[in-house]
Amino acid sequence: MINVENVSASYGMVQILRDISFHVEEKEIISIIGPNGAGKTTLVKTIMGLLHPKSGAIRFRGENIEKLPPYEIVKKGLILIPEGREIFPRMTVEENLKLGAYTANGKSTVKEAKEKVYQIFPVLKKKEKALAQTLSGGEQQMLVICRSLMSNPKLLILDEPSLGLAPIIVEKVLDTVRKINEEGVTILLVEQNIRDSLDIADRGYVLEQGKIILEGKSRELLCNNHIKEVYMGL
Amino acid sequence: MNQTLINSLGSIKRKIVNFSRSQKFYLILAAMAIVVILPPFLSNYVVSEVLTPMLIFAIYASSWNLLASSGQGSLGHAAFLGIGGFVSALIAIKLGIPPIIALFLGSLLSSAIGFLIGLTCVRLKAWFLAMVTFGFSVIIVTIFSELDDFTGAIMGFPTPLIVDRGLPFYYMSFAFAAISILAMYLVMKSKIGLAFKAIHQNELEAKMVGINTGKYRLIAFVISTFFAGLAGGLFAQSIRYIHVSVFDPYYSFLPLMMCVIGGLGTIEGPIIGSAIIVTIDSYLPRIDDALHGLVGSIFPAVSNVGPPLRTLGLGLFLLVIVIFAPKGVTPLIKKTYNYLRNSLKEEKSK
Ligand SMILES: Nc1ncnc2c1ncn2[C@@H]1O[C@H](COP(=O)(O)OP(=O)(O)O)[C@@H](O)[C@H]1O
Ligand SMILES: [Mg+2]
Repeated sequence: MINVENVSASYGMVQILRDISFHVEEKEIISIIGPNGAGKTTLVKTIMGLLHPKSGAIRFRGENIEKLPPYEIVKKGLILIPEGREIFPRMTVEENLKLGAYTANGKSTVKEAKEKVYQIFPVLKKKEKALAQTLSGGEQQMLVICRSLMSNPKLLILDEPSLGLAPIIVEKVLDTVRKINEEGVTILLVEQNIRDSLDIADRGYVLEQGKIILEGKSRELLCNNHIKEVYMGL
Repeated sequence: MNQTLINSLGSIKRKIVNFSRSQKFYLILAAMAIVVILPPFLSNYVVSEVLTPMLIFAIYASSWNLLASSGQGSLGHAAFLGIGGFVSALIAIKLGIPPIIALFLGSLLSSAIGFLIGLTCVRLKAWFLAMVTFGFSVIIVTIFSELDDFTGAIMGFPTPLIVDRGLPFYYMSFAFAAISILAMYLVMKSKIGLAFKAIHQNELEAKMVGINTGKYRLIAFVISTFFAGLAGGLFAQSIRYIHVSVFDPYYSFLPLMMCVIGGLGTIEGPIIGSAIIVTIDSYLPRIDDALHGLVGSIFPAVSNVGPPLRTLGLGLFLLVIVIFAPKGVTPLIKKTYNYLRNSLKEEKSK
């Protein structure tokens, strides 16, 4: 579904990503894991066109997208949930969802999509008219996930969705991610939280200092000695 | 396709019907009736020097407000007030075009220049944007002054009129204000307006829901500068004589003050802000005289402090608003209105 081929990217003169290659197939859940500062956010920004690669190619369903602006990429069905629960704070929950369907046409489809996401998180329906900034952290994360579903994404990228959430809510979020995947949405999950994310992923890549140093099936990675030592302190 | 058209027409009709039954509608109707029926009973000074400028500056402040709603604060809007004023007057005189058509051409040119300036400004944020818009306004006033042979900007000249001053001009300004503000209201309530709001509140996320942020920021510039130019054209006629002073930075700060005082980001804010500032401005000479007399009688040595006192008064007023009513006076008015209504209801139920 998406092929990232030998991508390098930098902020100004500082090179962050070095020769990154990976791919995600239809209906998969892929996890990219790595410590703080490894370049995970830089990588997803590059995929979304917020940053253009210095070299390399990114192909989405066979089409090159590495030179496209973000709004063109979004139109193709690639949706990112950025890190840090980015909401429109002084808009209602409903308006936030409506914006999620900005690229979709037709009022009836928007309404349908809204009803569908309310089924996943009924609490949002109750708070439909509340300003997004008045929601709790967990509710905001749900709102952001629901908003990303409003446009029927083909590939959903999540940048550290569990950051700063209580364990019980993390579980709920990851559970939802799995359900979304079962509905046919391909998932690219970027996380520091190795065990939880590899738990739901089919395959994983390990990113350190801007390079992919390991890849494999989730189960294999969980048994890998480097991962055990560095990430799980075993 | 046809079905969706019928559906959306139906929903618009429903919205209009619902609105026409709402209290807001009667309130607006009552306000409209007052501003239409009352003026013939008022003095010429009030109509021409207070009410008419209120309407014109309501358009101007609303145009600034629309740009600000997309997250872009301009400190150079006087450039467009001036372009609209000068260009519409100049082409009416030099080309002999009817002033009403010249007014539209002036607004269009203001908008075209807004588009060009917008092309550079849409990449800038906050203070950089403020500085660059201010810089452009300085460049534009310089161009108008340097081309004095053609523009006559430095000495100034009388402006050709669409209709006579006094009541006819007031009613014309009223029509322009009603149509312009309604148009800007509809834009801000539309999908375009939602994009403005999204860009203002969270630019990254606006991009991530698929909004072409550069395009929408430019659209905000084009619409805003069109109406700023229109306000300029009307303003030039209302002051009888246009002169390079319409480019004064004071006119760039004015819409900012009006919006902050009335309430930023609301549709009624700029209208109320314009009403307050224009009222203060037109009665200040009298307040001046009073203060002058008062202060002079206590401290004969400083009997000459009239004019500074009045600007001081305006400054203090701004301070008080920003500190005690950061959302402008509109919420205060709404609260008072609701309070009065509720207490009336209680009276009745007793
Ligand atoms: N806007 C930026 N300009 C310059 N350097 C940046 C910028 N954003 C991130 N970096 C640097 O890039 C590196 C990778 O950051 P990031 O992609 O945010 O990592 P991660 O998401 O894995 O924590 C870090 O060293 C960070 O300091
Ligand atoms: Mg990150």
